[in-house]
Amino acid sequence: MTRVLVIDDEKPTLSMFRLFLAAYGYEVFTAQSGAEGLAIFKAHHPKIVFTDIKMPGMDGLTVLKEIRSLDRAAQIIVITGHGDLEKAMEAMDLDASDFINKPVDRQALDAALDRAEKRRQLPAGMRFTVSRKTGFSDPFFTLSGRFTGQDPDLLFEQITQNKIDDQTVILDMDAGFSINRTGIAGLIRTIERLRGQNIRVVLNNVSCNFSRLFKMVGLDKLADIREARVED
Amino acid sequence: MTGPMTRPANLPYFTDALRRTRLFDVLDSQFNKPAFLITGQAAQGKTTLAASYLAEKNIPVIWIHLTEDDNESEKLFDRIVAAFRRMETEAGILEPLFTATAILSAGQGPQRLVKALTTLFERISGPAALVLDDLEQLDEAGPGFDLVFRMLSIFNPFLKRFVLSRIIPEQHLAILKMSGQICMIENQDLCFSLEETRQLFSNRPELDQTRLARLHEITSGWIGGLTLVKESLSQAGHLPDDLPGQLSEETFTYFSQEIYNRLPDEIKRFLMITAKLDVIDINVVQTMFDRRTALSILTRLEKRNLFIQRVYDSSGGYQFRYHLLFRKFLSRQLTRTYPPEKIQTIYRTFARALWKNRCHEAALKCCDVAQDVDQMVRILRIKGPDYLIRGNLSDLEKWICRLPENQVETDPWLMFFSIIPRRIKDGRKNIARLEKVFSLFRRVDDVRGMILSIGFLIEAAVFVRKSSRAIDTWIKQGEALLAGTGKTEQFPWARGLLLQKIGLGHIAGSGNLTKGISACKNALLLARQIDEPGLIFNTSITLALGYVQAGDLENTRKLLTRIHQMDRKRQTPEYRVLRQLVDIDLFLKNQRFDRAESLLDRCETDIDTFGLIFLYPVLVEEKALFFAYTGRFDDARQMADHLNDFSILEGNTFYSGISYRIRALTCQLQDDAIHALDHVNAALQEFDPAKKGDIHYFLTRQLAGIILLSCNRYEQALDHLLPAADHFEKTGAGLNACETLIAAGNALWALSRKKQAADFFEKGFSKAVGEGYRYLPLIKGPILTTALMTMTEIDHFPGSFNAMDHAASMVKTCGAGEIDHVLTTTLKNAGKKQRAAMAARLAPIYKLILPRLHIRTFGRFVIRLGSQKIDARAFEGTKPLMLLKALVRHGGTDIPKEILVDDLWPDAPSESGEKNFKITLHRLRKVLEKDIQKPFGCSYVFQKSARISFDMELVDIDAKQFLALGKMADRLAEKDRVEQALELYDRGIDIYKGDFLAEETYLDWVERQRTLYRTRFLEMLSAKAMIHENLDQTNLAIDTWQAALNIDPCLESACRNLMILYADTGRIKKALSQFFALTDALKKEMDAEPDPRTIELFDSIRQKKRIKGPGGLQGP
Repeated sequence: MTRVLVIDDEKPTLSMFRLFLAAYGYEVFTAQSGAEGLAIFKAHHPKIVFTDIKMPGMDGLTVLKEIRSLDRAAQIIVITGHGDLEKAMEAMDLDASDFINKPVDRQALDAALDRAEKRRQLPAGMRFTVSRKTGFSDPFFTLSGRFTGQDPDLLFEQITQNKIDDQTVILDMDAGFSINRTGIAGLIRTIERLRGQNIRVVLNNVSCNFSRLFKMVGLDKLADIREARVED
Repeated sequence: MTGPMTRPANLPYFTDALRRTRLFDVLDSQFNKPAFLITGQAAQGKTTLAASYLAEKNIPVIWIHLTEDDNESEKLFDRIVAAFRRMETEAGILEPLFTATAILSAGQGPQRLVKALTTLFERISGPAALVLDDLEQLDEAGPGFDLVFRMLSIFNPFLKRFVLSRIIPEQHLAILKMSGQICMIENQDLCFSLEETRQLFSNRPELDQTRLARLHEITSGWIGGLTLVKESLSQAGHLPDDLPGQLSEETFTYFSQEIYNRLPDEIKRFLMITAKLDVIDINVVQTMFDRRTALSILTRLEKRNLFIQRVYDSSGGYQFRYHLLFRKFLSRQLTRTYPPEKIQTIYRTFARALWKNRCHEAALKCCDVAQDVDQMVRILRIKGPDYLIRGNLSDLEKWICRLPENQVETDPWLMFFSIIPRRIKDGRKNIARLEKVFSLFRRVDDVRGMILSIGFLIEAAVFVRKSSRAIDTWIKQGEALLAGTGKTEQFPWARGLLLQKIGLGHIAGSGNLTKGISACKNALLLARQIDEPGLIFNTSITLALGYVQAGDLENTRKLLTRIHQMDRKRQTPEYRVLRQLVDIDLFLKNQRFDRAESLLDRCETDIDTFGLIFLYPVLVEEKALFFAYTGRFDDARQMADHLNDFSILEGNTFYSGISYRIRALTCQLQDDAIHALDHVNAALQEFDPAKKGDIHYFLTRQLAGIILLSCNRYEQALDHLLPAADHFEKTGAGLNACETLIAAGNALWALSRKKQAADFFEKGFSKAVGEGYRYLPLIKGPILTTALMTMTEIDHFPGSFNAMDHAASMVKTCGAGEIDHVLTTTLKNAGKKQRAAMAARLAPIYKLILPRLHIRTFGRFVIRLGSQKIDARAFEGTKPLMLLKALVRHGGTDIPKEILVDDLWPDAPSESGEKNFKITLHRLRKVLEKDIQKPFGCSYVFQKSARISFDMELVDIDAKQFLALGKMADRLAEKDRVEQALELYDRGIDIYKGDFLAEETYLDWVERQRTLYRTRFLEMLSAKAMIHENLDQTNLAIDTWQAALNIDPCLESACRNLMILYADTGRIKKALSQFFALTDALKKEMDAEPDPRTIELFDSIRQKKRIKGPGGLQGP
């Protein structure tokens, strides 16, 4: 049974998460503060951690930093207030595995868990890679690893290696893909450059939480965003 | 005590011998008998019992450990004579004891030994004991054995003869039993009870009740086993997790040395081969052994107390069972002696025999030992549904776990059985697995399998909160299956179960209560036809949930009464919690908030513990309602928000609608109509308009109507209220119908549609009376008052509405202040001419909101108006208070004025007495009725035809309540309804805080009444104490008698009862000092002596003390 830790200062929220995650088949630990959460993490080494951002005492970002320093492979999903872009960005910069908005909906929870489960199987701290897949009508590139401000050129070069005119390229984000603030800025720049060459971009298999983040920064105006499907 | 008191070499060392009070009492009660036989298996505490008992008796003891040598009666005789000699020497008796040879010349054969022993025993002039230990060492047919039993028959009043034995000497016992001269303590008596086990480990606080019970279960109270545990604890410092595994080495050594190695090979083989059987049934064992041989072995073992016990079944037949630890030992011997293949063959044979004998559980165990998977699968396929029906899921899971995984995953029945026990624990995974099972069943066209798997699929979907759409899809599939089997008599249990699950799906999943209730009713019908209690229970709970959600309290109540009478063992956690939720809803609707709150906490813990996610939103809703109804509005809002969060996380708008409705209700209860309207409109949007049959849609419309009514938007209010009322009446949702009808009546009245309004009011109130609703959560003060007032205007109240008491309780649920305001304004607005008539009409309502006058007469005289205490200084002088006391003293109703005048002014001429009375009454009423509005004509004290009375609808007098409770309690006690009687006695006794009008020490007219009340109080205490005695509630009885003596130290009956109770519980000193206290009190108060009965009792207790020795017995 995979162990999951949920950290939130609101007792009813903890009860709700505990019930849902237990129904999903996880072994659930809950903590009402960051400090308690850390202690539980050290004692039980859960594979997946949900932490609220806003908490009295140790806040969620500190919890994220502390856990990251203890275990690079742990999947840490940060729960942010609705539309709190800045906090989501901060969390991504601190290498959160994912983030979800409050109030948490089923699709977001399922997507985060699905992604976390897949990422658990991958090695921690993967560098960004891009590889072209054949057998698709449009050029199809799989993005993997952590995309930061240093990677846009690599991405652009890989896509434009072969001549693509007036076409659509599909950038497929696999479970190992993650991104931070400078990465998002770089991705926007790359897409703009591609559009400059009349290349339309489809961001495919985007986790629904990332999709929301991308929409918040306006990426949906530049590219077609297709969300990853999670089975009900 | 004389003679050697050594312990047998193999008896585990017993450091803290526990006083076996229970057994000492048995021995004490039969100490008049000469012979005592204590039989029991090895290390069962026979020696310790006899030794400790005789030590406490403090009499000389001769203790002889019998050996094989004693088979020769002469040798035994010599040992006894030698022991007597030793005892006499130690006692300083100088008279020489005759020699053995001298006695032997006195006759021939065994009789001569008996004669000699008779003479020897006659030398004893005081109580003494002879113990013959280890009788099993002697040959039952030998002369030594015979001498032992002849010795028991020798008449001697002083010498008590104890025989300790592992075997039961049945042949010799019969005569002694017939003569009634023997006290017997057997193996089962010797076993430690759970309480004794607890006492044995009292110095190990780490052993909680559960672990102690487990220890007791493992050892079956066998003292040897418990001692080994104790020993192990003191060595290891903690209790090993694996008991009895950790004790094996010690017990095994013990068993092998003490028992097993001494047995003939034939018996050893029998024991080993049968070791793994839980019970040894001769019909099963005969497949391996000759029936007669087997029976003979088992009977012999039983007779020799060799860790075997005969167990009778309900039909009078019997089987045998080995002691758990002994079985473990034998199992090990089995594996050491035979190769695995041989053991498997043996147990394969046993398994088949057991299956043939319809003992499937035992057969499965044998299959497991034999590793016979095929047979196991065959049995499970056939018997699996039985486990489901009986709710015995843990055993089912245990057996399925023993099967290879690939076999389980490919066989639909096995896979199905593997899911059901884990249907809560495995949550979402179950959906995919049950879908797979369903398709496997469909592939082989197994209809019963399909019915069951789709049923549990619906349940699983509800549990993990699948969307309503998904639940509906499976419900439809289930309904299609039922349609296919409905006309046949096939699979009634499976069909009943599916109907119940469909009901659950509709009620707790998609929220279609009408369909859910209907499905449950059909399921219940079927369950009753086939008499399946488990199905009846689960269906009843689901149906109750449906009723309560539909607001049908009458049916809920009836159903819950039936559910409470059902067998609790059948209740699984999810249905137990469901029942709690139904109870909570009912408590909330009856204003029993304390009960609701405590149950909410319990329910929350259970939901969390068992992961009952499908019940969580119902809990949150109930919590929110609890907070709203108890005025904790912020908490209510927080819960509503949380419900909304849940709804979002679940992806179901249903609870979002409820969340809005709770917010609307909270605002409405806080008179914030504007926000209430916003929320109620949002709630209406959330509830799918297509589902107009949905109770929640109409509940929301009802609330919308009431909110609009409070905004004086009458037409709009009616737009919601009329269809809602119509719906509630049609669906039988009584409480909601009452509320809606009354609210609609208000709106109609305001729109001057008076006749229609009157009809609505009458219908609403009649329903409230008929169905016993005393609290309408949504009907606040102004609506209710307006309704009641309008009824008076159209002569419907109180003329046609005769349930005043009922109305009173309804009015009391509203705030008195706002009703007062409404009534006063109405009266003020009435024309001058109509005012008097209007006041008379409104008076009954006005009376309902007046604070009650509470008069306390016991202990200290206190008067309160409502919760407000009235200071005596408020009255001008003492006379008004005296008048009040005199009124109470004379019973409070119809008291002739002259009596009161005579009490208060005994020496005054009648004219001035009359005048004084008038002034005093005026002063009294001035204080009591200063806030009463005169036009309504209500008064606490009134005068009619020169007689004075309290208005008993407005006045409570403690003395009256005290007498009434006592009378009711006496009646109940006479009818033997003692528990209820006790409750009433307690309430009555609690009222008596001291003497009646204790401050009035010199008034003759008070004194007589005071004595009467005190006597009555003592009678009630005595009656209560007697009930406690009859119920063996000794401590409560003692406390109650003591309370009686505190009031009257000369109450001899109380003193006698106390003395008996103290003496019976070993507190002799206290019993005696009670007597001395009585003697002193009688001397001081009356210069009298105690009654002869009391003196006689004192003497007998004193005598008892002397018998028990200095200090007497010390009880608890």
